[in-house]
Amino acid sequence: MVFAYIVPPWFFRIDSLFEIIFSISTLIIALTAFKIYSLSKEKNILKFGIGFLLLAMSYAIWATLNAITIPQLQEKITGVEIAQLLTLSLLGTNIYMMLFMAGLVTLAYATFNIHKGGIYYLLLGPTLTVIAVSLEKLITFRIIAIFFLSFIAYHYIDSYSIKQNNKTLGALISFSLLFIANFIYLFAPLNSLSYVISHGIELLAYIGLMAVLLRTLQHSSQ
Amino acid sequence: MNKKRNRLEIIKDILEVIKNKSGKIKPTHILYKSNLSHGMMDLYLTELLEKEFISEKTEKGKKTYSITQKGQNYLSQYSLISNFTESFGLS
Repeated sequence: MVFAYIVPPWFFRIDSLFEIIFSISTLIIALTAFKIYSLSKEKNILKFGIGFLLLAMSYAIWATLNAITIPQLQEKITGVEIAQLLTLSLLGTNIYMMLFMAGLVTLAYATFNIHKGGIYYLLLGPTLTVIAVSLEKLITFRIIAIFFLSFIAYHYIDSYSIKQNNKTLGALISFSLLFIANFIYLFAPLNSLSYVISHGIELLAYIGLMAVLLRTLQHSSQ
Repeated sequence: MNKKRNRLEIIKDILEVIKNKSGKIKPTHILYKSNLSHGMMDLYLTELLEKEFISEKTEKGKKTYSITQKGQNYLSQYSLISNFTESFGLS
């Protein structure tokens, strides 16, 4: 079973920093969405906020996991400690995958503009179950993430075709970058460079989303 | 020609109509001013009541609507709400 990515030694700790940035960016978007939901009571905005909050939590788990396990792996540890570390790593990775996938499913559901809990249940249940029972969890997780991100990116192509402006283009590019990053992550259990490139592309995606958010807030205050 | 209004714009228009009538208005006036069908107006009024953006009073068998503080907040922050939903494809 593949449950770890190959990380180049020089990228240790830098990746945790990236994941903290991802977590903070997604949390800021989630909190802004909740604030706007409190004003508008629009359910789609609430779902969008919950989706980003789940992503923020997943990145926080991933960053914490890397921060705990990697320094210990660099030290001389006993067989028992390695076993404990692997258990912790496996548990953390599973929680990260479930939260990240729940976030993507919630974001995709927010784009439907349909308020039927049954559809959400049908999307989330099988998705999480397939990952939970899969023998190649990381690969299965990334493939399903790619499907959801391609759907979300397509939604933004649709949005951009209706409202052609820099903000919708920014959201389209950002979600497309997330799609590309997840595609490259597929190769990270085999190739250490894929892990670095994916992190770099993911960083660009969140910089893009933060820029969209900032432009939105600036336009609204004018 | 007027462009097709989205949900958020229609809600804003209804709230503005109520606000401009000193915050108290009959359904027929809303129907006339908001440019909606009777069925659509009923749906929107139900939604606005659920969201507590407006309140309903019945006097001598006739309904009147007034805007609440939440409705006022919606109007004052409409630009933010509209820009956010547009930017993130949620409208």
